[in-house]
Amino acid sequence: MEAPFFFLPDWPPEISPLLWIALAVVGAALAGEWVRHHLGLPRITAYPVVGMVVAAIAGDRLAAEHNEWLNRGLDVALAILLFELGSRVDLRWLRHNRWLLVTSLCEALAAFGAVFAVSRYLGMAVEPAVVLGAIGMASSPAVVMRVVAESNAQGQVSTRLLVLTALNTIYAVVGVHLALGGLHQRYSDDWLLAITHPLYLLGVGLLVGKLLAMAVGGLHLWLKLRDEYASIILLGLVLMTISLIEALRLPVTLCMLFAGIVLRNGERRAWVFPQHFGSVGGVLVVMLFLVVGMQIKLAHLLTGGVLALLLIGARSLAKLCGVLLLARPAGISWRQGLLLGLALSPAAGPVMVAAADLGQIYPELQATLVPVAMSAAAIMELAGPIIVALCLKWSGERRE
Amino acid sequence: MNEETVSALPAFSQSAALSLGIELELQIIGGQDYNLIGAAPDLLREIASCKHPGEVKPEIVDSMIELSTDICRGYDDALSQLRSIRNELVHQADRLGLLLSGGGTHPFQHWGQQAIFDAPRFHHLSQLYGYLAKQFTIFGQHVHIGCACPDKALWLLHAFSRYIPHLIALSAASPFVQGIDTGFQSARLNSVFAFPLSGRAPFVLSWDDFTVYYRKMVATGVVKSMKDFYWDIRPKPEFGTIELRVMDTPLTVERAAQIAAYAQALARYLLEEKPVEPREDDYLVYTFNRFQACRFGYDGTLVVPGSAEQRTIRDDILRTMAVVEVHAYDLGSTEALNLLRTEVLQRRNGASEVRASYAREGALEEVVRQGSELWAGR
Repeated sequence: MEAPFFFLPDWPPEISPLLWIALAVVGAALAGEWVRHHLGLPRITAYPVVGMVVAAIAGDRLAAEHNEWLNRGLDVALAILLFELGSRVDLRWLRHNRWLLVTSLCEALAAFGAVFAVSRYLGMAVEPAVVLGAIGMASSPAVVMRVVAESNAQGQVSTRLLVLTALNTIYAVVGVHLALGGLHQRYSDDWLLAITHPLYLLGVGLLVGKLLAMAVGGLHLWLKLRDEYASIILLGLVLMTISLIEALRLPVTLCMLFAGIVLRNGERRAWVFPQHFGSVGGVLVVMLFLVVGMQIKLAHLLTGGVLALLLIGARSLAKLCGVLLLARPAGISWRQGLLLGLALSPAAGPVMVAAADLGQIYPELQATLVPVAMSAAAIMELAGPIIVALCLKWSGERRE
Repeated sequence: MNEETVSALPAFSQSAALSLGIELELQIIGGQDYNLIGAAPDLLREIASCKHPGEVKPEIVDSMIELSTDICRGYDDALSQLRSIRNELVHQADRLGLLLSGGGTHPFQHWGQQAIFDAPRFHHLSQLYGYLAKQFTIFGQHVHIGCACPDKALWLLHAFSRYIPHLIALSAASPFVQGIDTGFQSARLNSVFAFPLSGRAPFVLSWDDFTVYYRKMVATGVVKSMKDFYWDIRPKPEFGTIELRVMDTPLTVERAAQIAAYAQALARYLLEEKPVEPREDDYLVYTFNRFQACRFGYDGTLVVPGSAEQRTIRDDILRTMAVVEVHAYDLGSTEALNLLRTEVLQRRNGASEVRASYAREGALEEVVRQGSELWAGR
């Protein structure tokens, strides 16, 4: 016989893990406001911390169960963010100020060298050390973009921070793909493959970027993109681009950055990224920080120990030196150089993924490098937003 | 220097009659969003090690910078000095990813976002005037004209007041304020008029009388130095000049030099031919004429002081150009006068160019970008 009160839920009611995610979002938002109000830091500095705490309470299954749709949403958010970051790169500026370009190469190479050296010191083989070094070149675009946007910072430090981040992300993506190719011995002494691979990445990546830029530029001519409702068209275009990128087996990061750069520099006309669109992505990225935080376990922070700090320290110092060395010729004061160099230190999110991947390919690394890299990445996920926020605050460019 | 101390009226310096000096307040614009950006400290730091004529100085808000020439003999001298300072500034701005622009206002900046330049005088002004100080994010051209003696300077100051609408109409380049077309050609001057000590100088023709007036004003505690007067024309005893202050910063240095040359020729005409003797009653129509020039530019109505005759400002400029032509020739600025006359005949000034650019492009960011290219001479 059916229960009389068939419309009532079972007792105790079954609560989906969605509740935990929702709680995490609300908690993160509140913590963000608290941090902003009482510590004068941008809201996003609180999100990864809250994510970590919630994950610690709710357990492992939390992020895992919602991986699919979360990741999809976050990809879109990240794509929009990189699109905007690319549109901040003014190639004319780089032409007028060659030292800025040299600074970019210098800090990226120094970071590569530092991470490579530390990895080798920890007993890693050359190829995986190259992969890790290449990842180490990139500053986190998400952290940099969001903190700059939320601080409403404007000035030499924040503008250069965005440009250098866009550039070192490009170096890193291309570098990682090449290094992974080498790692999997896909080229196997075939120099033609080794040359065509980067050419494909850069060339076709640029082409896809150009297509998106043309579409947006065309829309811009007869549609006011400032309008909130135009954001939905842009969102659709970005989704189309992502599917195209996936079909062509290209990295989303690279294509979206290129799209932004082409859009900004393709014509002389003034181009300002539509604010509403930026904030659509911005709010989604809040989730990203939360989810990244959820993947950090307290154990991660500790296992790497001193070596993790060594890795972070060497990489940060390398970036700092690269910037500081050329500060004056590039047209910024020593103080600005110092802050810019420090603000570049947040590491890009993919480090943890890459470290885990490497651990699977080389089980012997599980004991040495993987914990160190994971630990370093976890520490930087938590500390990165705070470092950037403080640098911008001290540079006097924050305007709230 | 302590700004709180009252400074005595400085003695009127010797300066060569009809020598010229030009000051231009410039907009510093961010290359990212085409809005004003507080980059004056960066630009000043980088320009400090460069050789150029004249001076580059900070202004009250740190999105503004002021360039000034050394003392110039005439138009050619002024133009070449302005060009070389401009080129050096543009070069440094390019390195920093910044844009520079003329124009009396930034078309869409919001005054609330401006920061006060970190110097005691500017903080004092900010405290005194409150939001007015930030609303003072407007950009003007000042022209100094050398005077042989202080009494002549005061005479010239008052004789010149009749021609203030000319200078406004020729330089007007601030139709947009905070994203809106104000309908004015020089909306910038409306911000100046908000200050308590703006407007015209008191009608005194001898330096002794002026000193008495100054002492009385200081005694009231209202002013502490000559800098507290925001008059349209004011004497500058330290330089031995009168300073014409009603002009918007034009869109190009060429236009700035032409306007200075016109003022110089006009001053020579007034001093040598003495066509009128200035009277207090000349000021009866002063604010009316000035408003007409701000609002309508060349098309504004000008009431000739001392008569009820009305003509358009354009008409009055063209007539005046005809009589000062011979003085312009003697000063070597015929070219400047001719270029300026063509502009008047074609009814073109900065305001009309800004409006045309907006009508063509439909986006104020692009108007700003084109303005910066114009300023850079590219």
